Amino acid sequence: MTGSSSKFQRKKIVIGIFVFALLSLTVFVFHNSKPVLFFQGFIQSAFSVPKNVLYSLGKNERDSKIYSLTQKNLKLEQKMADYALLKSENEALKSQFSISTDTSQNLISAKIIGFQGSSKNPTNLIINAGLKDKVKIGMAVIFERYLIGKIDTVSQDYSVVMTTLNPQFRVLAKLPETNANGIILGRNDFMFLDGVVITDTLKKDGIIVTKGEVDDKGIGVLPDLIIGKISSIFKNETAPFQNAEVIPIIDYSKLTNVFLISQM
Amino acid sequence: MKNSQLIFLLFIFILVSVLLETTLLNFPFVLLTGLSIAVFVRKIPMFITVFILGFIVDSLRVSYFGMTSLMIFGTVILLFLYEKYLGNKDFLVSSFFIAIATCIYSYFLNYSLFAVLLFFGLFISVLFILDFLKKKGKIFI
Repeated sequence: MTGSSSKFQRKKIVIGIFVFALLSLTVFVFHNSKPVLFFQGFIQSAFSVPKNVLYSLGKNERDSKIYSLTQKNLKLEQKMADYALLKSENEALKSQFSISTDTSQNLISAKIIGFQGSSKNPTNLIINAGLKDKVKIGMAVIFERYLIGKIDTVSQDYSVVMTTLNPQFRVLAKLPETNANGIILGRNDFMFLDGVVITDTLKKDGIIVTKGEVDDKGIGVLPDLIIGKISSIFKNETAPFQNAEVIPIIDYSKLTNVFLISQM
Repeated sequence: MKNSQLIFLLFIFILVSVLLETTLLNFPFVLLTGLSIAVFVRKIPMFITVFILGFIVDSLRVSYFGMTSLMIFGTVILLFLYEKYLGNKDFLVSSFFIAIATCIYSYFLNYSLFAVLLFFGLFISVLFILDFLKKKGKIFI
């Protein structure tokens, strides 16, 4: 009797395992269905406040000297990038080949509530804005004039931002001072400026900005957003291209608020 | 400790794990906890808990919904098949299955693989030391 009841228990557990596995597979396959999205949204909104509070802990440096110096440094870097851009625009106007691009954009504010990857250099950031806030895949995410990344995944209440350090991140970039063009590729702890023609000039500590890539729906990365600073240059005179290591100016692990550029 | 107290403590532990994992620490606490519960405490209420836990983590990490639960129950099925056809219930084998599943999960879902490997390295070292001491008769567990 005891033997048959334990056999029955074991059978029950085995059936249970297979049922739950099948249920998990079904949900996985239909992860974009309405009931699943509703449940996902419910969980996300329930945990939004505690995640927000927990993530913000230890990131508030408002009273410290380091915070004020960091802020001053950021402002100075922005001014340097502005100067380089104004200089190149001035030269373009002088040569009468200027193009005026007056784009108006809307910004969506969001708080960072989680991250993925290394804690010092996160490759993904989770923000509390999603489908309900009209967030779309491919939208640029910025902080002041700095490009933080692009929206990679969107769910009901949350979205995942692929930072510029993510190995899957790519954006067209340029060095305004010399008009050198290239592609920024994420490399976990730094960025790689690749595909710069050997005849172009790269300068150490030069500020790299975006070239701009907006699709026909008005979603994408605006031009002249600051990406980072050149830390080292790799140049071989016999090769057709040169590249450089670019480090971000912003510490992504310390960010708590960002903005998304919605349709333009 | 009473069962109800144990369940309450487990609930608090799981809640804290979920919040920490999806906010501050990039370590798969929930998968590890869920796998351990599903593998070592094979009861239907536990399966339901682990099933729901998987969905909560997937929602908060914005990964494919159902991925975590699928990983947990897929591992349990493989372990069950191993026990049925190749061997008996063995703590070390079960731990090995959990370790492999956690590493695969961490690799594909952008967790800190280094932290996971370090954790399992320490865990296996402790197991071997305990096993060695047990064989020497220094400890009785």
